[in-house]
Amino acid sequence: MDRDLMRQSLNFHGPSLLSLLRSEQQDNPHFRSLLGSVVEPARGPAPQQQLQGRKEKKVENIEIQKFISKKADLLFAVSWKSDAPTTSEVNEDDEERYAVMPPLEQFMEIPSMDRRELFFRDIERGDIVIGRISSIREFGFFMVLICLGSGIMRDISHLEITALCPLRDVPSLSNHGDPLSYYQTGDIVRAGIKDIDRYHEKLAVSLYSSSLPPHLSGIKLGVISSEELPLYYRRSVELNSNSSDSYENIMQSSLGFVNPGVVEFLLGKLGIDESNPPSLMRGLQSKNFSEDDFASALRKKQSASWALKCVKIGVDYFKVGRHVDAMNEYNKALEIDKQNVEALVARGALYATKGSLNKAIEDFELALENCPTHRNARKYLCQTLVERGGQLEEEEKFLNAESYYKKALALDETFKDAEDALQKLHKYMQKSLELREKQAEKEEKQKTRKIETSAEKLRKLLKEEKRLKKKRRKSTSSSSSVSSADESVSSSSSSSSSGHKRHKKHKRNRSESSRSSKRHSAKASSNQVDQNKKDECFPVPANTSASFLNQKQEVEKLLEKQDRLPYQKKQVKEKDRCPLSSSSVEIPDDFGGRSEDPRDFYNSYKTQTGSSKTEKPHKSERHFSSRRDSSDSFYRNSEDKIKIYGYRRFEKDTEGRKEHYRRWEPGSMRYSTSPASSDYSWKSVEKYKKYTYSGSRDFSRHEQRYQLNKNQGEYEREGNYEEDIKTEVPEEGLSSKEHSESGVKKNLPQNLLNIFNQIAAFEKEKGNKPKN
Amino acid sequence: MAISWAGAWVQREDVETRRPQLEGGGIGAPASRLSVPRLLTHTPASQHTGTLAPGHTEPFGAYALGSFAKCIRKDGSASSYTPYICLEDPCEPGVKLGMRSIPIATACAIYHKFFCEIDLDAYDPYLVAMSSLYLAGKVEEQRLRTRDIINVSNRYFHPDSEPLELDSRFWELRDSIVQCELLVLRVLRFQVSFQHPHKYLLHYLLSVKNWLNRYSWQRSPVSITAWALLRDSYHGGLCLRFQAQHIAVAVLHLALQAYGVEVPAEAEAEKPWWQVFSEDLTKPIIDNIVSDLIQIYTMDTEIP
Repeated sequence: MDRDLMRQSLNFHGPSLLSLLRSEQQDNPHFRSLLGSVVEPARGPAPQQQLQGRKEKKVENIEIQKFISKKADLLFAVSWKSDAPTTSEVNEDDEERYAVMPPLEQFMEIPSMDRRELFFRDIERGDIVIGRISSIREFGFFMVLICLGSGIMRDISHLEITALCPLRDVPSLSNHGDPLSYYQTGDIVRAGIKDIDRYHEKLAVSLYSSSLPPHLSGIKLGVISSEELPLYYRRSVELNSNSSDSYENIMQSSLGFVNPGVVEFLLGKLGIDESNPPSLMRGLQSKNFSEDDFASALRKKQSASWALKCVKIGVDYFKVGRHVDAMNEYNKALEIDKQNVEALVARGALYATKGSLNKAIEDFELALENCPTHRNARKYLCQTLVERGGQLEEEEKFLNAESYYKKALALDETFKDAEDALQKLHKYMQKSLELREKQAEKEEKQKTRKIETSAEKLRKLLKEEKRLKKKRRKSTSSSSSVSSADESVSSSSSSSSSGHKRHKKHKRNRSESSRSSKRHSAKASSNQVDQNKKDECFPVPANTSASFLNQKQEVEKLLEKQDRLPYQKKQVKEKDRCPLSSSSVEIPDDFGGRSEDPRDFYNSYKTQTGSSKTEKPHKSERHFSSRRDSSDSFYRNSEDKIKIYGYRRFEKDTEGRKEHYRRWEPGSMRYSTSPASSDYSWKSVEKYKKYTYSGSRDFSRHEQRYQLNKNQGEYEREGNYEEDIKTEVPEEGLSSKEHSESGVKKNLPQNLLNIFNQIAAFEKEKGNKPKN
Repeated sequence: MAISWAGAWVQREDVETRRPQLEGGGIGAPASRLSVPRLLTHTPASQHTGTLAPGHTEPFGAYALGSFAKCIRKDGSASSYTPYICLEDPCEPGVKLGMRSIPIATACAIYHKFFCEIDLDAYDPYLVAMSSLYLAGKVEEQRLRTRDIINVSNRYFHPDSEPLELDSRFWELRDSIVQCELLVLRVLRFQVSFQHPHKYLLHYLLSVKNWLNRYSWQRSPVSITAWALLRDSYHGGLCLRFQAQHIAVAVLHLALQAYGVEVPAEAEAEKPWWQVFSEDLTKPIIDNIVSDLIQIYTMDTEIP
C-alpha cells in the first residue's frame, strides 16, 4: 500500500473519502492499519482548510470517491506503478514518432506570473536549457532562456528568465585567449542547469557536459543553430503567431499522430507495459491469469497432444514394419511440435534400427535436451552411443569411440555395456602398447642373430623358388614377355582360382604361396590341401601374424601378375570386387610388413570387411621387404611354431618357407573361425596404435598401388606393368631399388632375374634390418 | 465436454423468428436464416449447413448460455441489450491471446456494435465475441489464428479441460467462427474501423506530464491508471456513444482525481485543461462518461 499516495488522495477528497474507504476496505488488513495512521493527519487543520476550499467540488465527486474507495486496494497498491521511463529524450525530434505538442499552459493561457513561479518550482539541476546570449561580461555571460531541452517542456520564452554562465563553466575552445571571445550576443546556446536559487529566481548554467545527468551526457552543449531548437518550441512559436489553432488541430495535422506505431511508442515513453496490461477489473487482473490459459500455452499443449497422436500412429506402423510410413508420421509430429520428445525418441529409434546411428543420436540428444528426465531417451541414447562407439572402433577411430563410450557412461553410470566396451577398449589399447614395446625389444635382440641365419635360409628359399618357377613356366602358356615370377604366380593363381568356392581363404593361401612357386604348385594342384589347412584350427600365436601379413603383401604381387594373364577371369572378377574393402584393409598389411603383431588386427579386419579378397590388391613392391620380415619373424618363432603347428604341407620346401607357410595358416584359420567380435576390440586397439605411428603415408601408398592393380585387373595390356612399377617407385621409399631392378631385369633371362632380385633384396634387407 | 458453437449456431437459427432482418440485406441475401453461408458461397444449402447440422444433436453449449444468461440477469435486464452486458466480451480472451490494446478495443467495439444492431438473443454472444476477435485481428493487423481463439475460449468455458482435439468437430467450430465473422461484417456494413481514444489519451498524458511537477507525476501512477480505465471502458459500449477525445479526457480526469492530482494553476487559467484537449467538451459530458465508466465496474463486483 502506498501511504503517501493515499494521503495525497485523502487530502484532495477530504474525510468523506476516508469514511467511504473505511466502510469499503474494512476487510482488507492492509487498509485497517493504514487507515488508522492516516486518520490523524486527515483530521488535522490543513485538510480542513482544503476541504472548505473545495466544498462544491466535493459534492459532485461522491461517485468518484465511491469508486476510489472500492478500488483503493488496486489503485494504491505498491505494484501499481508505471515504470519510470529511462529512455533518454535525445534526438527524439529528429523523426517525429508522435505528435509533439506545444506546451499545455500555452493553450490554457495561464498568466506569466504563475508560469514563472511554476518554472522555478519545477526546474531541476541537470535540466537542459536553451537561451540566447544577452550580454557578455568578464566573469561570464548572461542568457535569456527561450525553451527547455529536457525534463519538463514548458513555454518560457516570454518569461524573461535569465541565467548566468560563469567563466569557469565555459570551456575554452582554443589554447590561448579568452574563452568568451568565441561567443557573441544573440547566439543561441544550449547549456545545463548547474545551480538554482529558487527564492531569488536565479539560475547558473554550465557548458560542460558534466553538468548533465548520465543519460543526457551525449548531448552537445554550446552554440546551436536555430534549426536545432526543440520541435515543441518551434510548434509553440507557430502557435503564438496563430493563436486560434486548437490543440486538436495541431495534433491531428502532425505527422507523428498518424504513425501506426505511435501507441506502442508512447506506451513505452510513459512506462506502461502492454505485455502485462493493467486493469482495474478484479476479474481481469492479469496476474491472476494462469499461464496455462494463454493462447500460446494452450496451443503448445494441443500441438503436443496432436503430435503424440501422430507418434502413436507412427509406432503402430513401425511395429508392423512399415518404416517409411512410421517415419512420415514422426516427421509430421515433429512438424506440428518441433520439440516433441516422444516423436524425437521414436524417430531416433527408427533411425537406430535403420542404422543411421548419428541421426539417431542427434534425435535422442535433442529429446533429452527438452526433457532431461526421459528414461527411454536416455536408455536409447546410451545404447546407440555404445553401438556407434563399436562402429567407430571398427573404423579404427578409437579416440572417438572412447568418447562415445564415455558419453554413454556420463548419461548412465550404471550402463554395463558402455563400461565393458570402454574397459575393453582401454585394455586393448594398453595391450597393443605393451606388445609394441616387446616387439621393439625382440627386434633388438634378434638383429644380430638374424643376419647369418636368415641369409642362409633365404638362399635356400630362393633356390627352391627358382626351381618352382621354372616348372610353372613350362606348364603355363603365359607370354614370354612376362617375367618368370609373373608366370609362376599366374599359374598358381589360375589353378587356385579353379576352386572358386573357397576363394576367400584360398586366395590368402594362394597369395602366400605365391612367395614360393613351390607352394603355388602344391596349392594349385589340389584344393584339398587348402581345405585341409583351413580345417585345422590352430591357436593363434601372437607373432605369427607378422609373417602372415608379409605373405599378404606377397599376394599383392601375385595379383599384379595374375592380372596380366588373360585367362584369369575369375581372379580378375574377384579383384574387381576388392575395392569394397579397399584401403583400410591394406593398412594393417603394411604394418605387418614393418611391425610386430599385425595378425591380430588382420583378423579383426577380416571379420569386419568380411572378404578375403582384400588381401589381393597388393603389389610386389613390398615383396622383398616383406620377405625379409617374414624371415625375421620366422627366425623368431620358428622353433615353437614348428612344434606347435606341426602341420607340414610341403616337404620339399625349405624350412623357412615351410615355416612361413605354416605361420600364415594359423592366421587364416583364425580368420575363418574367429567370430565377428569376440576379441576384436582389443586387437583393433593395437591396430590403432600402429596406425598412428606408421602414418598415413603407407596408407596412401597402398591405395595407389591398389589402384594400379585394379587397372591391371582389366588386363588391358601387359605393358602396364612397367609403368605401374615406375609410378610406384617414388612412393616406395624402401623398395624402390628393388622395383627398378625388377624393371631392368625383365629383359634378362627370367631365372637369372629372379635370383638377382632375391639376392639384391636379401642384401638390402640386411642393410635395412637395423631400421626395422 | 466441448462446447459447440456450431450447435449454438443451429439452435439460434431455430429460435430466430424474432431476429430482425439484416439491414445489409441489399447485398443480395434474402431474409434467410442461413444468409451468411449463402453469402459466402453463393450456393444455398451449401456444405456449410451440412457440416453445421450435426452439432444440432449436441445440447447447445448450455454452460455458455447459462453463464451468459446469469450474467445478464444479474444486471436485471436479460432481454434487452445494455452497455454492460457482460464481462465476457472479447477483453479477457484478448489478453490471453496476447493482443495489444488497440486490437482488443476494436474487437470490443465490433462486438458491442453488433449487439447494438442485433437483438442479444439472436446469436450466441460467445460466438460473436470470438468472431469479433478474429475480425479485429485482421482490421488492426495483429493476425490471430482461429485455433488459438478456440483454444482460449474452450479453456475459458472449461477451465481445467485439456485443449480440444483437432478433429472434425474442431473444424466445425472453426467454420462457425469464420461464418459468423462474415455475418458480423455484414451487420456492421463492413464498417469495422474505429477511432479509438488510446492515441489521444497518450498524447494528453504527455502534455499533462510536462505541465505537472515531475515528482508529483512520478509519485502518482496516473498514466497506468488512465490506461487501465480506458481498457476497462471497453467492457461497456462507451466507445460507441462518446467521442474518442471525450473518453480520453474523461479517463484522464478520473485518473487524476483518483490520486488527488491537480493540474497546476488551473484556477488561474483562461481555459480548463480538458477543454484544451477537446474544444466541444463540456463538464457534464465528462461527468457522464465518468459515471458510465464507474458503472462498468459495478459489474465487476457483482459478478463473482
